[in-house]
Amino acid sequence: MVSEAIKKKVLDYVMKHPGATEVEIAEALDLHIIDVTVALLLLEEDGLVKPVG
Amino acid sequence: MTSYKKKASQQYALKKRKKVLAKVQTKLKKAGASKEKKAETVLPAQPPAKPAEEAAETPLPKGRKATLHFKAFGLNIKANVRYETEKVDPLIKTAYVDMKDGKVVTRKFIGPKKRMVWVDEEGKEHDKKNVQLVQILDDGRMVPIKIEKTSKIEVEPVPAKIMDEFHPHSFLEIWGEDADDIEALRDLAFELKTRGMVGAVKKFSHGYGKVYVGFIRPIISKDGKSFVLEMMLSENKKRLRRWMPTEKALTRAGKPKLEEPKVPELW
Repeated sequence: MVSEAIKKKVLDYVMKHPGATEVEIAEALDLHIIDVTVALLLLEEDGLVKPVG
Repeated sequence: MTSYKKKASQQYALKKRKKVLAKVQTKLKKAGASKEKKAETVLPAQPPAKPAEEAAETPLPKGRKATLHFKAFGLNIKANVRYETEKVDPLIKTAYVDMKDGKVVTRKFIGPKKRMVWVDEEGKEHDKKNVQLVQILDDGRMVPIKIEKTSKIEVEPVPAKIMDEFHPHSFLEIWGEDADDIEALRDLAFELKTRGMVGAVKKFSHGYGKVYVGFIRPIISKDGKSFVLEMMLSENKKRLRRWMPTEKALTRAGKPKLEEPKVPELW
């Protein structure tokens, strides 16, 4: 499962780089695309991020 | 070049023809206008259709032809359609390259003995000693890599809905070799199903230069006696989305708030 630490990393990155794609986030944080996708899904459920376009 | 004046009878015939054509055109225009009016009153709002000329000019993408039929919900649709396999660029782009001349080559089996050869786009054969698997980076650079057939499938639980995010490439079935293995897989299948999860496999390869991500989905019969573990392989996501922090996230992170105005304590 995606840890809270990964969720926090992804959220911090989106805060600093609004409009980033999953691939950009994965490359920048050196995370697997699955981890980033899961983290974003969970963050979206928490109401902390939203997809645009 | 010779020219001649048309005879009076010919001129008369032409004039008559023009008149008839004009009449027909006005009638057609009127009919068209009334049809549009009727359509406006009966049909719900629909996106504006392209003018016939414009639609005819836009070439349709090539594909196989078929007719699509649908009869339900008060609809009776029959449409001429075209279809084609959806192509998705893999996240990790790989290719086999002849390191001597940098040409991309592919494997082919030729002749009655099915001899395997490496050939380039022009069909020229290349020496297999020089062929190397490379990863093609975004800037066009080619980095030699080695991809081996997966023999250890490492599985992590992830929410089942993540599968909708990935484009399916192919499906595999996984089964246990002996009774103990089957029982272990049964436990995995039931646990995943109960928790609404699937098993994510971050790296999977058949060993032919392609890498996939996999999702193991449990399929359990109604009576719970039998089960199947199906693995969907994917090369990429269906679509890449851009993400923004919400107001909630910004507030939580301590977005500077405007303070309540106060009366200055001067008098």
